[in-house]
Amino acid sequence: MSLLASDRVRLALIVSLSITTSFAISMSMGWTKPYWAGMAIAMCSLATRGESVFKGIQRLAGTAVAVVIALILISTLSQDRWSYALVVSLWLAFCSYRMQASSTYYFWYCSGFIVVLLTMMSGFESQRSFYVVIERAQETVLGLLCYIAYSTALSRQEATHAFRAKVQSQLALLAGRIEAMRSTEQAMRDRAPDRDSRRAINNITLELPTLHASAVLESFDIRERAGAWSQFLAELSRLALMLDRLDLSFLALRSQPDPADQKPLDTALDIFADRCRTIDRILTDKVALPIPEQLTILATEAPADTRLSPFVAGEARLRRETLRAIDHATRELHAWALDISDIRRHSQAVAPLYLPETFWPNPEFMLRSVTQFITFWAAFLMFIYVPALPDGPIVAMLGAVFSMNVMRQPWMKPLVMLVPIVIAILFGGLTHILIMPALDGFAGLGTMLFSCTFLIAYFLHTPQLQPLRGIGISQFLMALQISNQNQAYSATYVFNMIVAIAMLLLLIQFFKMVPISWRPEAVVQRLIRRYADSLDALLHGLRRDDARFDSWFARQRRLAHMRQLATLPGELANWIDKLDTTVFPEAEKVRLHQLAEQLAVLSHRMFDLVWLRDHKADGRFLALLAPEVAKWRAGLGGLIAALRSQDTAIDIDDLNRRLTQRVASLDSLVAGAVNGGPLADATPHSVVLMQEVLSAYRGVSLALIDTAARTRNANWPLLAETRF
Amino acid sequence: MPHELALGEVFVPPFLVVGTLALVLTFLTVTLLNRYRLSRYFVAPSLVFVAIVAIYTILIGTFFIRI
Repeated sequence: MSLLASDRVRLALIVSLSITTSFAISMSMGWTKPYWAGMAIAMCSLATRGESVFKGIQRLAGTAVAVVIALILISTLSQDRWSYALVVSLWLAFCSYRMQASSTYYFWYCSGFIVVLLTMMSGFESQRSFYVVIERAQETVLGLLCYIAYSTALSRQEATHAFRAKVQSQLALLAGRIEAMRSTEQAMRDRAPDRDSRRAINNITLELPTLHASAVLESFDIRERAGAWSQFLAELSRLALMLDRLDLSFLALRSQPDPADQKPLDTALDIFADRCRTIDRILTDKVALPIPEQLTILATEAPADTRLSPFVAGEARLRRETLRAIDHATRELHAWALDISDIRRHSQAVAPLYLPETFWPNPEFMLRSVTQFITFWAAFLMFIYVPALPDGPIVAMLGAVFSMNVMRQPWMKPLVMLVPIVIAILFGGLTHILIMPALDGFAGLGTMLFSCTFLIAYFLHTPQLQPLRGIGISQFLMALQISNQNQAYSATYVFNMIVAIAMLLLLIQFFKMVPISWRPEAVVQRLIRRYADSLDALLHGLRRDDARFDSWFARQRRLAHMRQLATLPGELANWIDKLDTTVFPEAEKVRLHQLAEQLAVLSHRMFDLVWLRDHKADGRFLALLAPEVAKWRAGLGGLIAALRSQDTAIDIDDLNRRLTQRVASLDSLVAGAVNGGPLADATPHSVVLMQEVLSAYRGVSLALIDTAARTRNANWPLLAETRF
Repeated sequence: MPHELALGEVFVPPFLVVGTLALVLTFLTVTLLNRYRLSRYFVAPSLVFVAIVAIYTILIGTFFIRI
């Protein structure tokens, strides 16, 4: 029994027992392809029971959708292979796109590739297809039921615990980040935010929705308060975002708060860190603590002060808005924590998203779908026009499977996947040729299946190795060729499969570079260019003198660009990590990471500006400032063009000098107008809005100049160099 | 005339052996080209990769193992 103390042994036992049992049942039922059940188990065996069930449900739902589409395709297009290929490839591209954009990626993956699998395996015959489809559905259900049964009996890894632990560590990380802001604030603000902490917070934010969905399936407690948990997670994500916004606003020295605002800011940060710890206590110990009131220092709005520079006053107001959002998020989190702990019910309408949804597609995801579309077509054409190709239908089927997988993680090197796949197939092939002929009955076959799958699952037990475990077990089961009818023994299938997969991976390797390159260097450059394009488009759309920029379509475009600005710095950081270390030493990567962080600062600054556009401004202020702001915008456009072309010959000192001059001239222009000038009777609201807009313009300018300075540090020739 | 390589009692398609060898040699070649920064002279490295695989396949298939 001491062996069972290890989670590693338990996982290997669950996987091997469920595969052996599913084979026993499907063979006794006379189903022809027992390995389908085994493959469902291999792909859905995750670290915790809840996660496995969640993935299993996605596989079932995906299979159900694919079954319907496959039957429609067979009944309508089975006589016209080109129409069939076109419809299937479009459907696969759509599923690929949804895989990137959705937390239920596995559902879309199964909805896509199973259509190709079912239609190809049924040979486009209506009658046969019905049996293939039914059998596939039966085997998938059987495999998942076996896995759930064994994991319920043997697994100690619960998604509920993992979910609660992640929430706790997120709260601890957020409290730590607030304290880091507080301590550096007392010393000096010219420092980069802790990159590891930022990344850990972002990763947990991405993981929590899936873990929540898994825990809901596993635990009655979580399921009962699922709505409250969803609201809690939404507020937690908002808090992380707002803290990022606040922290990054300190990145540049010039963005320090006014000394008058220093003390309230320190007090607020202390209180926010305490609130995070209190929320953790409520969730852990179910302590009934009252919901804190809104911070008094944030509750009252300071009157518009026309004596201050509009830039200084505006900056203070914008930072105050962020603090107010953090205050609101922490109080909401407290209230939802009380609700989750059954202490006090809370009801609150869903808070609006930080960035509203838009129908406009994500260009990077579109590019991935296009590459997947082209790769599938290449595999299909190879199947049609290369008659000597061993197992042509397998090439087309695996073309769908691999292209969808690779395009979900385009930094993966397809040919590197070849090694584990070939090892698994050879292992299966050798077992098939050398051991299987000597076995007599299911007692022998079952023992062999149990031992081999146990070994694979035992050696590949960590969550990081799960994809490899899934691929390894499924390829091994395919290579075994266990059949319920006329079992034959031949190595041809194994060798054909290796040739087919090698050719396919070679094809994917090729189409990962043509027509769109997915080399990390190329992607980094492309993302920076796209960032510059979105920034330029947003800046152009800020003009208030043209009605075209107020249409519904223009607002949608603006939202799409804002989404780009919000997501591209994170994406860029991911791709920088994928750069080859032998070519890009750590120091080079750090410089690029600094550029990505600077782009995140710039995004937050740009959002200030774009959101202010939606407020109605005083026409007299617009008339007064329009010529100056237009010149300013033109200057920023020039800087963006330099960023797009990765121009390193920018004179930063000159830019800073010009910015200081423009700020000074606007300072005197505004002071002259509001203090006894033509705008002396301006309403406080319009003065505040003018201050915020000017401050936001200055913020964008500062951030852009810093970005230009960071751009100069990067080694662009090295990035642009062609490589295999 | 189709023929196969006999490894023990297992018949292996020669294209499999030749293809595997060609892939391994290509990996070696492109690693060296990257190592000595010679790949910067190629406009489309992926195309060159496939071309090198084809060249090795034909060379091995012609001179060493008949496909």
